[in-house]
Amino acid sequence: MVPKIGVNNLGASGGLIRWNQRVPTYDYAVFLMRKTPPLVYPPTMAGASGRKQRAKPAGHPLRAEVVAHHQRQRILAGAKEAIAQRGYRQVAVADIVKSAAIARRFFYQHFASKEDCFFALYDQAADAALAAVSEACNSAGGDFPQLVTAGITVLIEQIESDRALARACVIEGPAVGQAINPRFEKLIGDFAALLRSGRDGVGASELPETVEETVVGGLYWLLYYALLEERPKRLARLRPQLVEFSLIPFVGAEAAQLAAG
Amino acid sequence: MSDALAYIAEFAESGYQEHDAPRFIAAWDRLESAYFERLSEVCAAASEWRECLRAAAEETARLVEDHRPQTRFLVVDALRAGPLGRERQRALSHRLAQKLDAARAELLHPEAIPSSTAPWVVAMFFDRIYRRCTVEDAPDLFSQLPELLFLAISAYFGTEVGLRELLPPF
Repeated sequence: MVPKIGVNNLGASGGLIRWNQRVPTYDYAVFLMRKTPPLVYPPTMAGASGRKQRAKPAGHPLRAEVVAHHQRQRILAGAKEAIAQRGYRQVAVADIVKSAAIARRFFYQHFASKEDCFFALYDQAADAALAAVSEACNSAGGDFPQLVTAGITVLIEQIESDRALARACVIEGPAVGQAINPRFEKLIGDFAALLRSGRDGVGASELPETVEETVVGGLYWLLYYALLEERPKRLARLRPQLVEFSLIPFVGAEAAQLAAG
Repeated sequence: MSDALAYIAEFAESGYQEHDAPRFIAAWDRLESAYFERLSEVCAAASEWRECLRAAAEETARLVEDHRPQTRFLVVDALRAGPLGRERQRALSHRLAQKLDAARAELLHPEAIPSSTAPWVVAMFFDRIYRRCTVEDAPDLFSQLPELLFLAISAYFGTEVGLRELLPPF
């Protein structure tokens, strides 16, 4: 859903624009830069000295929304940095607001708790990774090995481009405890479905139905340990091997090695 | 072992406390050495790598199914213990991977096998065990062994050899 200019987008549930919602930057830029007629202050807003008072930002529904959107972004960025540096269990809401440089009360306008904030960050990262890999596969075209190569290449690039985010979600995710499990299951399931749709008949028909989940689960923990090592270029060096491992069950070792280069 | 079990129960109940690091390490070491002793015992009679892998996988499945609190501690709860738990788990995976990589000795061209093959196989087993512990209706590990063995053997000996693991025994 794309929010419209001039419309209050709080939605039926009363929630603000979601973090992972596509926001048309151009529309906002046009809105922010547009020439507006000078504000005419009603007599009640004029001070005793006759000086005009500032209009309150919250007075305009879209202004408030833009501010809220940016606040939420800052909180999530702050949470990412704090959790990546100190670990989920060591981080308190106070650390997140300090890292985001916002007042504590704003945190609670967006999130009910630290866990709620972390889940928003996790969902956003998972959605972005899935969308990027999916798009890479779609634009790559070609045969199944080419799709897998394109998907894994983009996944590694995504991780490399924001190590703090990867660390916060991949390494600290399991530290959250039971509550993360449905999200973890969804993440593995979504990527497994993508792999399944890409192979579409390629590979032995006698393969178990869950083979994609097992392959993707293995990839996840291999990336987990690679991130834990914190060695630069470790992920890039792992890329061809991940391609090979993902393909072997479906196309055989020789074709998998060929695709991995 | 009773000390380790008492700590595991405590850990599951109230989580990791920094001041309990020595108890965490003691419990971990006790479980890890018991696990590797079991693996050595079941692999002692195996004449080739695949036989050893099957025996080790079956023993692992038995331990996972029969000793859930200990499994949870090693696989799931340790990840909540910060760097100490993660480091212990990484070392355990590394140790398992080194054992698994013995498959290279039976290959004509071991250099053709990627260096991360053993960690990859361990990661797949780990994932299945992790989900067995965290997902309520996850299938038992025994039922997943043919698939895991297929993937492990395919990674070293090729898909054709690996597929034999999926055939019914009779």
